[in-house]
Amino acid sequence: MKRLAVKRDTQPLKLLLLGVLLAVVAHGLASGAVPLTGPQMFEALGQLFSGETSSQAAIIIGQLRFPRIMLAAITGAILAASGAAMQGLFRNPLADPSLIGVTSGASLGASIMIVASAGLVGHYSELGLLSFGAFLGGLIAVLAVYRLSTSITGTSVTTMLLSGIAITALAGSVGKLLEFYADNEMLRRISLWRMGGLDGANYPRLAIALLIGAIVLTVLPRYSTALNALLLGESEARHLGINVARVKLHLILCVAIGVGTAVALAGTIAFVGLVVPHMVRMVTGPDHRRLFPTASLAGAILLVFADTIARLVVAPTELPVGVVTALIGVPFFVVLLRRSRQYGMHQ
Amino acid sequence: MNVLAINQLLAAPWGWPLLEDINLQLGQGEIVGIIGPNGAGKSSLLAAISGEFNIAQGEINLFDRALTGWCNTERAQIMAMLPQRSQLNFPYTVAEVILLGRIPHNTGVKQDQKILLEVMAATDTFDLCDRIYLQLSGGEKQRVQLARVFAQVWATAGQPRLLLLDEPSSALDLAHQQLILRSLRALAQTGCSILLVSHDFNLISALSDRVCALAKGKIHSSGRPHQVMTKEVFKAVFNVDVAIGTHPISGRPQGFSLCCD
Repeated sequence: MKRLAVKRDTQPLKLLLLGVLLAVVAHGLASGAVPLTGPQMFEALGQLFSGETSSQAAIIIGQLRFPRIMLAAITGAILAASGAAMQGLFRNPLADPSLIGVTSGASLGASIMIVASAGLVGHYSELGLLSFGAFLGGLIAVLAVYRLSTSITGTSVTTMLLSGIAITALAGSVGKLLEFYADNEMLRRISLWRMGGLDGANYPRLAIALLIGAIVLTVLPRYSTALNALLLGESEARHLGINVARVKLHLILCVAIGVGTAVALAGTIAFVGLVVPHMVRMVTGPDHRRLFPTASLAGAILLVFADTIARLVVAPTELPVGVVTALIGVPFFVVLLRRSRQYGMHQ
Repeated sequence: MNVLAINQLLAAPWGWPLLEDINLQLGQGEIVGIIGPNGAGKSSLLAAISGEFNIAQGEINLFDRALTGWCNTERAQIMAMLPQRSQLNFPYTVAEVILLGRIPHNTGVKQDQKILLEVMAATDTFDLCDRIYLQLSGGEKQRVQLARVFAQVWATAGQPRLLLLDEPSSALDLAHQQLILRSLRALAQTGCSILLVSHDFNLISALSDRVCALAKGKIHSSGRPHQVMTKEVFKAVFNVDVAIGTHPISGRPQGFSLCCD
């Protein structure tokens, strides 16, 4: 009998990705301005676990590289999963948090919070406020884009991208206004924060990232079946018994929390949410039950690797990781556009 | 018990009435065909029945229960709808698209596999099952979407269900029209009622127990195919002169050729 390709088995892929993730994490821990050999790195890790933190290698890994790499991994996973969710929700493979204004909305929200929270420098509550501001900004942006681009007849790609541009421009100019009225100290912190990416990693940040990452990465996959049905169209999903309005609201909230937190903790990182779900979908197909776990792993790999490269190429200084992800992402995006017919975006 | 009972329906989702004074009953296993000119309200009627928009007046009852009283999943287990166009944009395989129809049921992989094979046989999509949906031709896509809604209301026992079809055969070749005709009949015999909108009058005539002619949002006439599909009704509803023949075996109306001058 003919084979029915009903369930593409992704277990081997997941194991492979997990292996690659461990490899890039180990590579990231060992590389940097002070390169460590494999044995040195494992020795330092062993010392860290046993509470011995005085050696130079243990300090470099424990204080700098470990929180940073973990933050990169979690941020990458959140961004990739959020991208996959948005592409499903908008029924369009081009939907990406940075492309449709969510990232810039979140960025503005965080800037406003920096100005508002002057005096709480480096405090836990400052980080909390920053994350909350970014979440609110991202939420407003994604709601606006969704409202503008969705009508009874469905979601229009053109309107979606145009409203993304509008939101990005608006957030940009409000940001400029804010800088105009901010005092020197605030200005310095805003610009530091803007440039700052993963290099600001520390344990408080990692703790917030872990918490939000755990929430986002457990909640999003729960909507896999609903998203699978939504790819058929909103009325079709409704005919399949999906409560479309509720699913949409939950997904938008979840993505805004995820992207907002990622922006607040690691700055704006473009293209991870766009590129990773695409690459993964080529192997797993569009079924979100397989897409979410594999895309999260692949997003973590990409960001950890990109961050390692960003630290290495111009050591001892470093590039913003967004530069590296964009360098990887843009060519891919162009290829995607060239092949868009295959993705059915020719209406 | 009526599977579907529509009483005095008035629907005006955009302010002006799209459907007015609609009364329609559908018994178990019954097939009703809807004909009418463009914009007569055929698709709106299906949309109203599937709960796409709120109705202004009257009532729609599904199994003697108001449409609004059903929860989404429950309703999806007994009613499926095939829209005119599909907006699917992602590279699902054919088998994956068909299995989306099993989402409301939760019957497990084994049962779903069995149903998948059966609906693929009913729509001749077995040879397509590994293909990417986006790369199919229009007629193939239509058969796959049909298989998907079949999978949603497929059942061997006689429990009542309702299938709404909007132009299910518009892109099909003759052989597949015949296959779909047979599959729909077989489905109706298992107790599934079918409401069918189409411009394929031969299909409607061959398949329907009753036919409704819609014009300007109202039911112009309804009855057995030979009572509704007449020269007079076609003149009044479509404003065309047609020559209508009679099927040599079934005696149902057929042909429907335009009288050109």
